[in-house]
Amino acid sequence: MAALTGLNSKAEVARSHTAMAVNINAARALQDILKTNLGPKGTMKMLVSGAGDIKITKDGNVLLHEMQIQSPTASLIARASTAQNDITGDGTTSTVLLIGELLKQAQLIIQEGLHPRVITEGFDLAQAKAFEVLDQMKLDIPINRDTLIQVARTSLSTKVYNELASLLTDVCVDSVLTIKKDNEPLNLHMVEIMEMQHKTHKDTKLIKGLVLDHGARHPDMPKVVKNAYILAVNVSMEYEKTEVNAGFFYKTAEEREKLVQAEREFIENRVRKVIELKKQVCGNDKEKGFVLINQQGIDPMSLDLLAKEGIMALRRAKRRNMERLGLATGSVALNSVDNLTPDVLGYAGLVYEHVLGENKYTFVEELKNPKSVTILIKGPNKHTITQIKDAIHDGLRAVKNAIDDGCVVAGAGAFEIAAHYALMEYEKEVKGRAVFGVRAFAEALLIVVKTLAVNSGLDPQDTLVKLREQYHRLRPQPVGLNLNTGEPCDPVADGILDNYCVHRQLISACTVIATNLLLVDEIMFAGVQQKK
Amino acid sequence: MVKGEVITLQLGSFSNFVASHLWNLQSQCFYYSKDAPFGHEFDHDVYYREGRSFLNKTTFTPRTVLIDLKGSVRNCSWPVDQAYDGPNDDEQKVWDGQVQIHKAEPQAASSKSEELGEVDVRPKKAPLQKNSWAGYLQNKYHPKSVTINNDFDSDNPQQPFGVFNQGETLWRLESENFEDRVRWFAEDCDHLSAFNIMMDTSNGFSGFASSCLDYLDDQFRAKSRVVWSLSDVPANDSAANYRALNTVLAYQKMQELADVVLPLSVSADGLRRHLRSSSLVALDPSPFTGGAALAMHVDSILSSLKLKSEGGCDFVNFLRLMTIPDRKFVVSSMAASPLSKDGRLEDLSPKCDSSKMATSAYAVSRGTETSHAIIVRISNTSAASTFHTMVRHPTKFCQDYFPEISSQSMRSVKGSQLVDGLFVVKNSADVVAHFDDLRRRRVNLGKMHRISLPEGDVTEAIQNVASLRENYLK
Ligand SMILES: Nc1ncnc2c1ncn2[C@@H]1O[C@H](COP(=O)(O)OP(=O)(O)OP(=O)(O)O)[C@@H](O)[C@H]1O
Ligand SMILES: [Mg+2]
Repeated sequence: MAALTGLNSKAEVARSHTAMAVNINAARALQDILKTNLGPKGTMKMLVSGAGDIKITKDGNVLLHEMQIQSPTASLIARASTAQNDITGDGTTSTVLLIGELLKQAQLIIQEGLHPRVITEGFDLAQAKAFEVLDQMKLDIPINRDTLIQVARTSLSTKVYNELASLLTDVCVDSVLTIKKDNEPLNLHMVEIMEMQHKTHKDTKLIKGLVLDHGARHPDMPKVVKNAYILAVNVSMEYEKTEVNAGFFYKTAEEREKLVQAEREFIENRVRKVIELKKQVCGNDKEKGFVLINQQGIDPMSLDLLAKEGIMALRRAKRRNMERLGLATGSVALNSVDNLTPDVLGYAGLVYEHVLGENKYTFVEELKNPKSVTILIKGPNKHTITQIKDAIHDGLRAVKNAIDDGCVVAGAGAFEIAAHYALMEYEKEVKGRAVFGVRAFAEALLIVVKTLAVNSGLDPQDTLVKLREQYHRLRPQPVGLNLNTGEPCDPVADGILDNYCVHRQLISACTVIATNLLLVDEIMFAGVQQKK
Repeated sequence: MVKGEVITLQLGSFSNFVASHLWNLQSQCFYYSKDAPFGHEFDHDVYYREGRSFLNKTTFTPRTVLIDLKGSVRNCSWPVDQAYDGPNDDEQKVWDGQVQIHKAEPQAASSKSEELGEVDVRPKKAPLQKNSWAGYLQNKYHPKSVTINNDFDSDNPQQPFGVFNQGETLWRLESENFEDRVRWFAEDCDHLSAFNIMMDTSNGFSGFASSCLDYLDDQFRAKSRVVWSLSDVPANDSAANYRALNTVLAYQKMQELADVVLPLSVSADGLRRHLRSSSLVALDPSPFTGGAALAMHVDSILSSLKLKSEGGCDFVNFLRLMTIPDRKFVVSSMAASPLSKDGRLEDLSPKCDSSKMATSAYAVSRGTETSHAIIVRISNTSAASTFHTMVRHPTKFCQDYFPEISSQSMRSVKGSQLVDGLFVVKNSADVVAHFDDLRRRRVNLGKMHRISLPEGDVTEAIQNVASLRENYLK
């Protein structure tokens, strides 16, 4: 590859420069749009369509998904950033900023005649060093509830106002701590997120149990069941017109009638087995109740039979709720109602229905040791609910990341300041022209701190000077930016904690993409030359 | 007799274009007063559900779930009934920092009177916007009906959504959400009987729809599945081989999991751009216009399956009449002037020309009664194997949808734009021409870089089309 570079004619280099300029411009245009989003003092974006429809978000990831991006470069960056979000749940905005800044810094040196390949070599060296710094910055504090609260609050307060952030922080941390099992990987799917229209979002809360988005479909069924046995099955309890699928025709009307009758009895039998089990466990005890939750359908005739026995029955439950019910109530999901025994039943102290407009909800609560819970998001409209939902996703991921990482790092720009410092030291050891790449990388990292400062109405250069001086004095103790005062702060003391994996992924994704964008022309030219 | 409820699925952009026309046609037959001009012959609850919005308004919306991609709504207003959204006041803002507003260019140019500062008090007729299915949909959808995916662009020449795998990826991204919506509508039914599936067969949505059929089979095994296999008109012919492959792959799934498949296309073969050489040639190739023509057929067949009268068919009976084991693909044709000349039947299925004798036929005459003998003759079947039903309410022909049709032929349209018509579905060997056309396309996986499927799967799907064809020649 290096040899080929030498063969490039002047014209080709010029063409490659213009192509790279296009790339860099696209990256910076994207950066311009997203930079005001960053941090707890960032700007909320309201997107108004031609017809007046509104989308509101402060989340870089959501914004990138809403934008119609035509430039291939911009869409490459956007995809890298949303991938960052898929992997870690955070850091989308920073990814866009950092890629843009790496390219901008690179451009400055390329204009002075340095070849992109040399810069990317420097990037590789700098990346390795940055990883080292990050590993040294892992904080030596236990990952307990307090720490998790701080991580979650740091993340959430970049998405919603403070009071709401506090509310959601508790909700996120407590839901994860409830479902967490020792020595087992955390499965966030066991936190169900349910939306409910309601006049105020301030009633968003954690339910230590399940909320299903449907109710009993029979007027005579109980609306509240106490001391409830829960039976979870995946068995059709509706009469099916199977003849179509079987593809056969009846010879006579009587024959048809007979088959219909047989099918009906077949279904009724299944229902009777459920009723038998209910009688067996509840007897004549009026204090005990019975709830059937079926993944398949239950037709009105079957509902009738169940209602007569005082059974509350729900049909067409979500597939995943079968698993959640097991974890929440201890029930065993069954694919058949043959040989029913009491030990497949779960238990809930309270099951009740809540009706709201055309929507019914069933709450399954008062559980012994629920390993599946529900976050009930309330809000008056689509925008509010969606924004809270996105924020909760971020909060849950932050908590999970901290647990999976087993550590956290200081936020508020502390990592960027420390890595910048280390790279400037490291620069002295780097031989050859790669040193320019290392320096460009170090400069680029500062974009996060600068943007946090600008978004808080602070002067970016003054701020940087203060932070770097402070870090020089206190290192290796982390130094971050207090966005309210503009002064250096101790992020750990202030409880501003970031996820380790987010920073790590950020560094590696940005290095890869920036490198690709810088080299894409060279690779293309190499291809052309090979053809000759 | 209680008719079972039907859930409609709209899987793909073109399907959504057709469906907007379909729901417009369906709702023109709603009469809220006691005396309706053609009587109350329909049980609308088959395809629609009554609901109650957050603002406590009674709603009546299609029982449907749709999928489309980012940008498909263009700058039309959001196609969901706003009565389901609560107030959006300052009290409920979740951010107390700065807010930045980004406005897209407004669509409509200001009218003269607005410029002059005059206030127009008459309700303004919204201009018909034909570049999106949301632009002409008259009654908006239930919020649970609409999913717009944000990972793929609907109209990005750089990254067309044109390959089966992309559709499979889309299913992976959206399945949890999509399944949840289908489940919600199903839970709401007392006698769910069938799924009415409208799908894009020749573009990337074929992969989505195939995965969706798997899901339906898994969760709703005993429910019937009617598939309208719709081909849009491509922007150019460069992707014809991809379109053929998408179709072939989707057909394999349909043969396995659908009860009946009705392929419909505006272009002659469903793969390339050129239109039919019949009078439908008067259409322009836009999804709006093509969709309007196909929707007339879909609407009439569906309408005939929701008749209250005893003689009418329901979904399940329709399947029993139409399908013969291993012969699930049936062809369609319609006669509705001025879209077809002299009451001749226009073929709507790709490559099919009504030349072969049909083994069974289902015919719907709308507006006026047509004698059984005539129907049997023009649809080329035998009297005994033809089922014929009458829908009294005529269908509607919207003149402004078809500017290309000469004013000469427009004379047959009455003032109210109501027209009579005949709509036929047949099980016949005509469809073999379509299968043969698909098999003729050379599928060279080595050259089709955008597709990434195991070679074995592709070969198997191609062999499946070959065996489909044999079933009709036996
Ligand atoms: N209270 C705070 N003071 C200073 N800096 C903060 C504070 N809270 C968060 N930050 C910093 O803000 C940055 C994160 O901002 P933000 O969450 O808006 O963007 P992102 O994570 O890059 O992208 P996104 O969350 O949109 O995917 C991190 O660098 C974090 O350390
Ligand atoms: Mg963040």
